[in-house]
Amino acid sequence: MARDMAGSGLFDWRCSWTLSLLLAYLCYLLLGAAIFQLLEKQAEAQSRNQFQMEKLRFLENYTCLDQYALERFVQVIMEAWEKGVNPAGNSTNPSNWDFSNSFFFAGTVVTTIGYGNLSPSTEAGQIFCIFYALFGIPLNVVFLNHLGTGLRSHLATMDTWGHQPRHYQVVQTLGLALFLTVGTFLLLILPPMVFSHVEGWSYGEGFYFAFITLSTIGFGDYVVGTDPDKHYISVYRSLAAVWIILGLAWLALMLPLGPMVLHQFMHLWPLNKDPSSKKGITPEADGLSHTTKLPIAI
Amino acid sequence: MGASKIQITLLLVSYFIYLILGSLIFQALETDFERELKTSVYEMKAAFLRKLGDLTPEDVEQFVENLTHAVRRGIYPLGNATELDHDNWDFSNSFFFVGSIVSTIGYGTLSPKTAGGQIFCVIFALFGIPLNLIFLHRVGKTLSLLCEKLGKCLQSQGMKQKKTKFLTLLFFLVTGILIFLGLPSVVFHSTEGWTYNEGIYFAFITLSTVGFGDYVVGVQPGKQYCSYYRALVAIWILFGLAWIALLFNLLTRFLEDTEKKIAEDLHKMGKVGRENGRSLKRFQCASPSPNETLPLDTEEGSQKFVFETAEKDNREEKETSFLCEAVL
Repeated sequence: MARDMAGSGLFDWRCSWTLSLLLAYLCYLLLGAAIFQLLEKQAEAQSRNQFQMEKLRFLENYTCLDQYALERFVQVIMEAWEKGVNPAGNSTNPSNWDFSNSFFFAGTVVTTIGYGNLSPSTEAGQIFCIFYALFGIPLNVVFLNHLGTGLRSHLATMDTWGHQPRHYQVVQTLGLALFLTVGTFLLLILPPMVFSHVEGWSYGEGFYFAFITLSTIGFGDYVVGTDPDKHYISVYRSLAAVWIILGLAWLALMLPLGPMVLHQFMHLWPLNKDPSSKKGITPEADGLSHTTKLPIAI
Repeated sequence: MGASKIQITLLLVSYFIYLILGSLIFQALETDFERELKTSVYEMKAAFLRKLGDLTPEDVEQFVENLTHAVRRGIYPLGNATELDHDNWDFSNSFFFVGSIVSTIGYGTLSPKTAGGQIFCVIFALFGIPLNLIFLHRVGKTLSLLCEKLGKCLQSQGMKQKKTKFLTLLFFLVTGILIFLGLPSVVFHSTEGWTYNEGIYFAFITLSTVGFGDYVVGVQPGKQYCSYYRALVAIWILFGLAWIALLFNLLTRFLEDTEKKIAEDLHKMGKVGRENGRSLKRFQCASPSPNETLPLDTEEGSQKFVFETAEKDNREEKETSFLCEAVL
């Protein structure tokens, strides 16, 4: 009773802090996107023009070329690629540093994914990138941390669960399991299917991309929205960035909840009907609490 | 004491065995495919060369497209077919690649192209990343132990506690920046030919595990490297990762403790009622306490440095909070 009142007040406070943290996080990303765009777009345009000139020159001379000229040309293509310029197109290709793509880039920096298919090539961009990551990465950690703990303590606490009547336990556990399953499907299984369809990858490749991204390894061999032959809607990469953040938040939430739900299932199993099992759900009694770190109030 | 040393050695050995096994398997899975790909690209180049006399613009455009495809797949078609001897998946490169997976740096200059390689990569990372976290945890412990010893040394010379904490933190920051960011930058300037700024940029991007891959050590074709160059770089990365994890951990805790302070201030100002105040105290004990954050370190790598706060080991808490208190 008093506990419920206190609980709701605490929840409101927690909610408002979560919202302000979310706002700060989004602002940080938007700000980073704008600054990266400012720093890098011009240099990219220059690289692109330079490469186009080289290509034209090669084209003009193709009647009197030799092997060395060819080698030089191949090297030029490689350098263009490393700068993020697509060699096979022409100067009307969309910029890699328009706002939506910069937002995506800022997101890959603060989540430490770092694909690398795009990276700051100006010196100012690189220095800014260092400071941006220095504060962005802890901000990202705090944000995901907060999301995870907040939602977990709201969803379930083991000590109250242990004292509830059995039917309540069953309903709550099933509800939680359903929530986890649906969320996992929506955030971890469905998006790779969408990406494979849009990008023309196989489903295996889509899943590989999703795994490499959400584990923050981020090779950059598969990146959404970078195929020069395809036409994407302008907010495609921003939506991908949103998916990445949601996916990471989901992992932060789900990974500890999973074992807890399993634990609850095990306690609900018919063999475990003795009354002592209810009291058995305490931090000292079951060794599982060391690994699951249940939000138990001490 | 002896038991923990055995534990550490066991961890070290299993960590390296895991990496070595991984690199051998990747090598086995990827070498053949890469060889085929390289051959086809060189043949395309040779065919183009033969036609040099009577090319059309469409031919050139096609050639550029083919080349782009090759570059995207990681083949850099410079030189001629004798370059085939130089493997992208030799043991040294493969080992480095495996390291970039488990540390989640993920440069991407090398990545699996076969389906088998990609599946193995997923499974390997699934177990390798937690293993790496545990390993880095140990290394981080060693680092903070060093700082604590320094603190005790200063204290035994009669300095006040707050001052020793501040000095220890300063020492930690300054030596860390010099050793892990400054010194490598100088070294890379002479071995890789980068500017100092580029060296620092590379060092930071690597140690924060962002790992773009625009700068990578030891892969420039024209340069001669001493044989242990990459091994030394790997050791630097290992300790640097632990140091930067501690650094980020400090920053994170600083941000989180700001949250606590705001809550306390609200409580003191009486905006939260008495009952809520009581539950706030309970909530502070229950939720944002360090114990809560352990689950995140099992997450596939993204908030790896949070694990530092999570140990129930009291000594562990003292070590990291030792560094933290000087910040607050």
